[in-house]
Amino acid sequence: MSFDADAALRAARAAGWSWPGVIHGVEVTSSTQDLARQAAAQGAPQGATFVAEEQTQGRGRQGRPWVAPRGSALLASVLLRPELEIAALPPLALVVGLALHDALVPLAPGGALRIKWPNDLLLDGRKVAGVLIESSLRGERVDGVVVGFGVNLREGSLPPEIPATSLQRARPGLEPLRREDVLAAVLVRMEQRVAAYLRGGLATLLEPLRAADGTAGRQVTWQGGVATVRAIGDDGRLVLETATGPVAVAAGEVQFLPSSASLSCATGSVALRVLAGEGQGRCSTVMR
Amino acid sequence: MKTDTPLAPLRIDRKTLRSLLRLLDEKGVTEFEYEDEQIRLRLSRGARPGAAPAAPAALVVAPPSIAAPPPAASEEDVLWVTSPFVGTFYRAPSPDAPAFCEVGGAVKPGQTLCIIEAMKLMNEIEADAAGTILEVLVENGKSVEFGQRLFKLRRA
Repeated sequence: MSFDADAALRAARAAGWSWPGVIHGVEVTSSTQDLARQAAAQGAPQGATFVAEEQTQGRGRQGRPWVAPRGSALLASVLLRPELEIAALPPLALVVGLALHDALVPLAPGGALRIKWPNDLLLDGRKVAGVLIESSLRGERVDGVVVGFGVNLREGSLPPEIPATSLQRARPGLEPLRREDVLAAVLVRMEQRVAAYLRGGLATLLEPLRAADGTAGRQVTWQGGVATVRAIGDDGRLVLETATGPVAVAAGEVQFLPSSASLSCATGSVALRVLAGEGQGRCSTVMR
Repeated sequence: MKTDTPLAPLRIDRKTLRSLLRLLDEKGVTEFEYEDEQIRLRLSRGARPGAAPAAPAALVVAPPSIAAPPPAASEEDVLWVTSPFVGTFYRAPSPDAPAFCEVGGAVKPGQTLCIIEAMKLMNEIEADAAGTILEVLVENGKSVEFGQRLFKLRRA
């Protein structure tokens, strides 16, 4: 069934969503990010949301492809226009991840939903939702922030090498989820968490963030070596225990190792690289 | 350099220079400039990507300039694009894509120059004036600090 944008908007409004933007549904697009960015450039208000049945160039970080069989996932992009100092922009990635987590927990009663810093969502250790945030800065001004996310509702026909799962796995015996309801829940929680961040900064959200965190104690590769995640730091960066003491990292330079992977091949000048990601990590050796 | 009281003129002998270099090193200072009636001194350390293969510290001691200083216009024409926060510098939207801009290329206001990623938030940094790229100061994929210079442009 095609996505019903009006029904999603009604559900969101009924649940208290008050951002002025409205929800638009399209059949096929390159990426919902592109639609939201065009809308941002044309002055669309906060909350303008784009949902696609299918993306021909769905993407994640640094252009990595995001694969979602038609209709199996909620694919959406939301325009935010937060009144933020530029320096306060990056932690918004955590705020959005927390909102997604809040919204999805009640929908997955039969599984454990955790955030993989900064904002991937893992269900029983496998990726169930991902976020890509894009913003543009000119001088001191934040033009707009486009939050894109994909939530796997059903497995559909995902290629077997993709180590992903779906919310339906954690809903044994329950009705399949409707994308309209999932979107409404995410929008409501996003508005609440973003408002809390604008009011009180990240400090007010650290407790729920750390409670939802699924990375503490995990091993990562960092600068060619292996480190252990200590916790999410007060500024939102991930604090690693390294051979030379704690280090806070802000960007994509950490690679999580599969929880169950053997680290025996991480010797000498050879570093591990996870090819497949969560749960089903395969390692290969990379000469440094 | 702002101070409440004027500095005594700096006399540079070998000993002063050594202690100055040591102080800058201990404090992690990467650039230092000083100028009075008698001397102009600029110290910089560390290898800046794109700079000439760097000696540990480069020292320029210029005699007092009697002639007029270099035409101010050329300095004013130079624009620096800096990083808005700590993150990772990307010159292209994906590893296979061409770079947003190249040295010698003209840029327009609003044109994307690079991406700085912080916590998986991808920030496109746009030019806020028209100009020409003179130098790209950071290598693709490297970490950058708040305020670090990314590009040197000549204003159109």
